[in-house]
Amino acid sequence: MLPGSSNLLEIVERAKTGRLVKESEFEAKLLPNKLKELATKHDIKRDPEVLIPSDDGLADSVFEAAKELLLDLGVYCNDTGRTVKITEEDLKETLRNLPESIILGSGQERRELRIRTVEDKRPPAFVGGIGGGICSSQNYLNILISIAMEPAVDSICCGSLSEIDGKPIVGRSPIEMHAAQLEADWMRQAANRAGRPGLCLIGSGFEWAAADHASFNPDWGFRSTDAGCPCMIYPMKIDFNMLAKVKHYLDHKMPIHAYSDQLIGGFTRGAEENVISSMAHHLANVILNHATYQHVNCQHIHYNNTSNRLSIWCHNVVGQAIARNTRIITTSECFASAGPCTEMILYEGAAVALSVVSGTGLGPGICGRATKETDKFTGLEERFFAKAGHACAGMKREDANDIANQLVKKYEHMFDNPPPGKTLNECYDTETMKPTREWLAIYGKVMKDIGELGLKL
Amino acid sequence: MQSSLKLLELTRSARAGQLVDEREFDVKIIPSKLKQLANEHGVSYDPETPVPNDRQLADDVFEAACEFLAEVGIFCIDTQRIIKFSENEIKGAANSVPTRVHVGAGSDSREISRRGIEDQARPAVIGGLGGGIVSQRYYEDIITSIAVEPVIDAICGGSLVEIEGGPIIRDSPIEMHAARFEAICMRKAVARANRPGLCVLAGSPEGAAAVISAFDPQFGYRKTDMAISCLVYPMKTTLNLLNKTKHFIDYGCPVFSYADHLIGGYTGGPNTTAISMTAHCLANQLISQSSVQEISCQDIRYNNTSSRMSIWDHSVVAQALTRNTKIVATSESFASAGPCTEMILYEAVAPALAVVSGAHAGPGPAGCGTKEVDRFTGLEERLFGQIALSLAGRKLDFADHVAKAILPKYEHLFASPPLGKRYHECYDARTVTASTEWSSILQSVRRELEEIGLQLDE
Repeated sequence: MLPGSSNLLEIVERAKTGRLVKESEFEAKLLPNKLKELATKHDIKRDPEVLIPSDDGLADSVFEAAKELLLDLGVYCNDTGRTVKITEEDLKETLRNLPESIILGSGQERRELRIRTVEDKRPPAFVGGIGGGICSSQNYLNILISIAMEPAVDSICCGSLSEIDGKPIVGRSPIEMHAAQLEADWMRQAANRAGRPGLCLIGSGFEWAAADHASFNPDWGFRSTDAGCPCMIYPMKIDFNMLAKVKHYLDHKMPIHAYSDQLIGGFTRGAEENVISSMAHHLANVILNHATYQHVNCQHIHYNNTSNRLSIWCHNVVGQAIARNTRIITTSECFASAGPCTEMILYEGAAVALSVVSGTGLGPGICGRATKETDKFTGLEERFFAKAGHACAGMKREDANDIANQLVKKYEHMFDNPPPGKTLNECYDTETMKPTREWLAIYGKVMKDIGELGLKL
Repeated sequence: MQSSLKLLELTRSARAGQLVDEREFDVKIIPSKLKQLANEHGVSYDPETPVPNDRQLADDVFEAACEFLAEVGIFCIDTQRIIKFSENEIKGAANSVPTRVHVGAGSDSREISRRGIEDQARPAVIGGLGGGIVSQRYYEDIITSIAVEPVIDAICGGSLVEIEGGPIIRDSPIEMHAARFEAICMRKAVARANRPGLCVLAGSPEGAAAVISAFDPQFGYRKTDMAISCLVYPMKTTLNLLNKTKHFIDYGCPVFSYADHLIGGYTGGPNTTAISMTAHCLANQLISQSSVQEISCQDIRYNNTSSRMSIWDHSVVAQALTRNTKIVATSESFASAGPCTEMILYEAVAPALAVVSGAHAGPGPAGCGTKEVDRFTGLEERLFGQIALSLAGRKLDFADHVAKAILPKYEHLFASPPLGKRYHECYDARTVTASTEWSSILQSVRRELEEIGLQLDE
């Protein structure tokens, strides 16, 4: 493949000439069948008693199965109805050329993110932020400030604005452009207000390429030291709009934070198949979206959280598969069922943070209410998440597994009816940007509990 | 005052307006309303007077255009709804326009000001291809040949027919690549012509994402360039166009708008097309917040603006705008013939005559109705500019006399015009000079034009 953004032109060509397949057949037949076949062939099985496996053979099998999936099936292009063929040479060349570290942000906020190993002793990088969670235009800036103020945050991920000035955001119109520009402006303002002007911002949260381009402005918006945010469309799909965004990031020499949220129980079936799929999406993200770093997100289709047993298993297996077989830098995203100002959101965060032992970094998150409730995000749960993740550095997988088993018991029975918690306004003083006493007390209690479980914060 | 927030209001209006069937809008509402207004206001076309000297006619066209826009509105293709404007809004926008705009930088900085009828002030000359189709191979060379002409004050690009040997796919990285290539090409061309600050007209690709990606002061379009916005013929817009306009305003560029008309199309004959063209200029002022607007009324059969009907339309519209608004307008030149022919040079005179009616000149001349690849050179642009300058301060009756003298030289050839030569067939690309053949054709036509009464400077 050609280097840099020229490679995207070649991908478009492949998307025009690849195999014609119906979208429904691709996602509902070809992909699930292939995943099932590969899980059987590579003997990928989940032991329900083990949340964080210490099985290097399992991790390597997942990597091999994911390669096979990507090479056999390719990636589906929504615009042409064809598959983009990925060759072994593409994969080898891309993986061979991955760097061992990347640079984000500028000035005092310049951060080097390095690849991590399983049971790595070094502290993990922390991608803070909302992970695309829904925010009102009224509170977006304050939520971002509360997160940017947390010193552990190495870069900050955008949310999704639900409206602008109380009015709907009309897709692919000047209103969407305006919203994207406001979002970039607020993210930059938040970094400035937190006294961290060079903090790497991950954005934009807007899907449409033109809105994304319009928010790039070194004076008030995104800069070359911020990270672009493309994704693979679930499952194993891409479109020209996404590739156009990637071209923009590459042309502006931006690092690229790519993602590919998986649904356990969705097209990609159960946990065993989801680990193969998530690994394959990571590989596709480096080839097609030129990802410089990524995050793992395997959500439970019923709860949209990543704190359940299946998700914890998936994040750890994928983390180990990546860490043992590639130089991909990835983090573990935390979607919690509970909202801020509850004990549950913190326990959920601690459970997801344990995947640090499997070679991942942290974040984005903790995103409360599975990102689906407006303004349920604050800096305090992010502080907790970072502390829990840092406490996991150097821990053995067996020990992490014990802690995980104890943690999930504290909240998994509440998934059907989790505590909604509070919005930022309700549990922060937005003048001083400090958490309320109530929220701090909950934080203190859970810190103590977690310490007793063996996580020394 | 430009404000991109107006685009948000327009988007909301486009979602809330009256629902209308697009075909009914095109083939019933527009033609019948134009016909009715032409009758009511007594707007009629006289082929014996290509350049009318009739103030009342100009004012009638303006009033009819205001009524037309207020009653019909602008159709949004995405929502299939009508964006409405009141007559007060329309007249207010037309008269609150800045009467001058500064474009370009350094020694290539230019002021383009509102002109009057029979104005002695020098018109601006906007050279370029007017969206004409070009190959990647010759794009930079063609633009360079135009930029080296000192008479050119700003330069308009073309439309790439392909990029890197393949088609340009809308809303894909390929369209972005093409847009950035075009911007880089334009910038390199003006630098090669030793005019690095020359204003280029920016943003011709279709998709908003591609257009936005080409605005970059380091390699592409700058705030001192003009950004291109348009209405879709007839009386239509899209969210994609509004998006582009929002970006231009946010970026801080003056906006150059157009709304190409087809005489014989949905807007009927020359009299109704004059009303429609004027209404489109008024609408562009409201929607695109234009600094400069282009008049382009093409004969539907030939895609040129050199016909008798086009001369009449350009002159009448320019007079209507000049007498009743502060809009800065320019007259576009599409020729039927191609470079290295006498005909393209005679055709260049026709749209330039609107200078006497208060317009500036250009873009153009764009040969072969813009439809033939690489049939554009700097030489026809040089003559076009010189003709435009020579018409400053001349009387409408003189322009009418010139029109009557030149039309018989080419109008009988419209059905089968000489396509002439491609750029590389009549220019030396290394020295950026015209071939001896092409230069001698130019000299011969210059002599003819001087005999008609045009006083052309070298």
